Amino acid sequence: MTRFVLRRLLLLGVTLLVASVLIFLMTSVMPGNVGRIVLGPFASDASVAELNRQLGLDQPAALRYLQWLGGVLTGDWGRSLTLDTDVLPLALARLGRSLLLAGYALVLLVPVAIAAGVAAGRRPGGWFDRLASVVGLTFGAMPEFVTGVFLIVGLGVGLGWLPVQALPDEGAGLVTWLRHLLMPALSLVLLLFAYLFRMVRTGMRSELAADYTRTAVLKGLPRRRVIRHHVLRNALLPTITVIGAQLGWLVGGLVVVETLFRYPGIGSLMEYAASNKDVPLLAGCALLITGVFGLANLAADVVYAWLNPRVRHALAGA
Amino acid sequence: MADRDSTGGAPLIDRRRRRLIQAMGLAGLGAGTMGLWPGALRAAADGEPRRGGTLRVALPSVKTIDPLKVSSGGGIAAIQQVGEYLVWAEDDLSLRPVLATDWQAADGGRRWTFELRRGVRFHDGREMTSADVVATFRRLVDPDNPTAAASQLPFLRPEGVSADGDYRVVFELDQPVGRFPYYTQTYNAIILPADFDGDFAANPVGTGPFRLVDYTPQESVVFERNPDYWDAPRPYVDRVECDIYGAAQPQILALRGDEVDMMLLAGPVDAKPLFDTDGVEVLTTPSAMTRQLTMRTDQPPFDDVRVRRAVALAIDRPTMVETLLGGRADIGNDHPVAPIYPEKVSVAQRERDVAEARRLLAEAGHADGFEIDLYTGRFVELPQYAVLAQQMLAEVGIRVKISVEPLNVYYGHWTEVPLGLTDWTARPTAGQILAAAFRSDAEWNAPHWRNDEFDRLLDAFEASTDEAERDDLATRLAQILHDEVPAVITYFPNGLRPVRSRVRGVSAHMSNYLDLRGAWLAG
Amino acid sequence: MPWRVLEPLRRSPALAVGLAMVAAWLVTAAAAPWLAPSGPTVSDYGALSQAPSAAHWFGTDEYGRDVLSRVLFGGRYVLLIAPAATLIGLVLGAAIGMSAAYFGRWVDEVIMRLLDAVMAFPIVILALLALTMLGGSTGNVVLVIGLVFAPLIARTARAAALVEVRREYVQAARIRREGPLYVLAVEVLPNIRGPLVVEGTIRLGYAVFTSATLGFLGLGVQPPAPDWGLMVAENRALLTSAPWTVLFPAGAIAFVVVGFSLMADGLRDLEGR
Repeated sequence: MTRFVLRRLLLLGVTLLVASVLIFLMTSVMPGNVGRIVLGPFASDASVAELNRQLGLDQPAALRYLQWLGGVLTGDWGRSLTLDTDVLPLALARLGRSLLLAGYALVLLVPVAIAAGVAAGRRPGGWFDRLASVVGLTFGAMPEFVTGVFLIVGLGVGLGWLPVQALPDEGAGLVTWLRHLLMPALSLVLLLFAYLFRMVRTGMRSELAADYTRTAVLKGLPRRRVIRHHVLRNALLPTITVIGAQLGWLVGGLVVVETLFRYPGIGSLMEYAASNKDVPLLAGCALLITGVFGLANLAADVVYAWLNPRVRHALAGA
Repeated sequence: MADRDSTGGAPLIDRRRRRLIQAMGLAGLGAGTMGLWPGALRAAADGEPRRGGTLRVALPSVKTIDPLKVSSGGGIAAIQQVGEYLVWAEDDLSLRPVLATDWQAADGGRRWTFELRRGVRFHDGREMTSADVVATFRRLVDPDNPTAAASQLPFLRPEGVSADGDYRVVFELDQPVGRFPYYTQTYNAIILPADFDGDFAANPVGTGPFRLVDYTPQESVVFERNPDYWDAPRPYVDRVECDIYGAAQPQILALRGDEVDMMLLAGPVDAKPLFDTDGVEVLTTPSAMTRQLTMRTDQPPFDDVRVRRAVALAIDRPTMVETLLGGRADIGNDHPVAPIYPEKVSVAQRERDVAEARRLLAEAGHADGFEIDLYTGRFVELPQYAVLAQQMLAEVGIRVKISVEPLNVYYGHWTEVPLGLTDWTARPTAGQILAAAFRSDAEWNAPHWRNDEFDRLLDAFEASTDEAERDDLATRLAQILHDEVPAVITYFPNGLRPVRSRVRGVSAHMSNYLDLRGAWLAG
Repeated sequence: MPWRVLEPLRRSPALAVGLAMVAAWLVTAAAAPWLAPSGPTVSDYGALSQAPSAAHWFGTDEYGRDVLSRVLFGGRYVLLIAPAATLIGLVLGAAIGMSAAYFGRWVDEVIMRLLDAVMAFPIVILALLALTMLGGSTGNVVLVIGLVFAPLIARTARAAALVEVRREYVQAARIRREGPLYVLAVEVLPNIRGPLVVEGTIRLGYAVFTSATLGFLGLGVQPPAPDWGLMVAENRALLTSAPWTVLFPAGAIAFVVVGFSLMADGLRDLEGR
């Protein structure tokens, strides 16, 4: 098990390294000029060149990469080229926000999707199964910016129930936070519901059809008890892996929701960095997101293995 | 607004104001009253300002807030709360003394002396003196400092700025500049302490009405009232919280949802739904902003003036203004001397004339028209402007292919493209925009247009302090541009600033600058 | 035999409904120049922000552009971008995935690490980087979505091919000293066709989704193009005052994505049987 985790961590490191190289490669051929972006269209070419020189952008990309890498390894993630701040504290603060939103969305999503999936899987083809499938499919098909816009205009501007900005004022209490974050979280939940729901439903169906379930029922055990003690555990196991994958995807895929609701998370920061060629900021954000994604998957796999005796035994030998 | 009458302006301002008042049909109200603009009018009717409260402002993108480097609209608005200029150009282009109380030209406008206000203190308690002003301007024109200001003050060298005692600063210019005081309000030129260390975000010290207490990049800037402000009892609000937005749409939703009290600015299209929103007012001001459709005069097909005139004749200006801006603009006449400038320009208005345009094109050897690429940035109404131009030009036989690019990409090559559509921000003097856009050697002469007569007249115009002469020179400059058409200038859009109704003492600004010293919140 | 072609449709109503939904859009998009009352960017100067009426069925936007025309022409972008991008993704992904499976060992390891690195980026950021680099045109959007999808499809292809390369017929071909290209293209590919088709159909829906999202973020085709996502982004503040400018493009996106999802569902069911 330890070796398995170590090996995965090592691989994650390799992935991070490759990702950072990719970023520097891509940004070095991107059009646009940081000096010009900062100073605006009406600064002289001489000023723009001078700023680029002061930022060290006149040096080759390979050299800048090595300097950056050296910095990261020693804990210095560099300074943003266009904002007056160091990369690491800014990116970390934003990541925290995104994790909060993603966590909130998962807290809303997971119980609802599992309950719906279990209920639907117990009676495939029943009215609830059909209803949940259609609703899930429809919202899953709608990009989050479409559902988000409807939510904002309906619940926010129209009815005035919920604030249209995701970020509450400083010093706001927990309830205020939750209220502000409800709409962005909801648009994520609506998007992801279908996928998770379907996983659980399929798991239920196949486990209910499995031999051991039939045997248990034939032995005269009440169906409810069979489900609670045997079926659920096995049906939900694959869901853990899915949630792990979703968490990483959530944090990274927040760009749209964060932009829509003006929630300053890491997705919108990354979008800013990319469109303004702020390479250190972009690379820093990418590193964090990639790291979270990898760790979330790893955690899900570990939990899965820990809950699933077969895999646990297989890994023990690895 | 009675306390605003400390204008250090010249008589020309009054003439200018009268004309504006007449133009707005307010003559009966206006005689002798100061600054009669919609915002000001409202403020005057509001009665006594109320102290206290928090003003929440929506700012568009803020990149750096380093005063030397700042260029984003939101960043400029942010530093304008902390720091102040020597002078402030009001909505009607009169000059309000701020850190300077008086100024005099000598040597035909080559040497300018500014008297500084006494007893003004920086946020760290030290008094502002001539040493700080000298250091600020030297910093701005030092070639080792990358800043956009350098290109705004091309006639000033570091050694040209000097102190004469503690409260007097002298500027020696390379050439006479009759409107020099306006140039000192270049947006980078807030007066900073002489020992400014270059890290404004960490150490934001100015003389302004507000102190910066918290800056979170890409998120918010928070200011608190400066209790020691020199112009007591201003400012009126205790706190200003600026939220930073990436796009206009969420700002509009936030304003409608009463989550912000005002927006710094709004494009005419974005603001449309706000004009009939309860509790929201859109403050409006005429502006010298332009959209220039520039044609490369140094290469075919636009090296032929007949082709350029044909393009100008194909454009239906009133329709453009109505469709793109809901009528909120002054009609342009292919020169940038906007009606808001004090110079009175009399050039016959160009009207749409498809037959004449076709005739000119045929004469120039383009009887069957031609194909051309039009480049523009993705910004406010520019993409749809391009489409309307495409529709209108098609009627004279010019087939336009449109390339709309992200602004950062467009600004990378906007002076190189054959046909480009560019937004120009408003400058407080006509000389600045004429020189920046059309002087032969100007870096931003996107049409690559050379005209020695124009350059000569422009030098005279920039130097002149005689109002009648300025009118005459401006007319001749405008006439040359109108005839030669290096750029089609269709309109001057109004500056718009949407606010919640309880916000008082704020007006729209032609350059979208933000002056909150007089802002207050009605109960 | 026409009825044999229709057989899967009878067995899977989801497939039939999805196909019908997508086909309806294909027809209207192809016929847009004849169906649409005007060009997608043409301004009717006299009718700005008009509610739906006999003259403008879907109303007009702030610039007096006919929303119906824009939605119809917008379908062309989506229905061109989604299949083309998916095809690129399929070809690339299949090639990469099958190679990884065929060569195994360190080749497999290197390829999978690279794919992991690429997939660790949020799709939108990856597309953002690439589109800033290339510029937002229809062709580039196709290319970028294709490239972004390739790693995902490669995983499916690899998983399916891993099973096949161990089969006897592949071993036999190897013993016959057939080249890898031949073995993969002639022996393996036809046998993993099923999973690839299902994966491709799923990706089609995601391609519509992704292109709409890119449009919404302003990274795809640039205005004044009548891209659905772009239309929603541009008009979202008008949802109370001129809802037709948002509802119709948003509805169109949802309609097409649901169509593709139903198709994918149907195919998956058939494949599973």
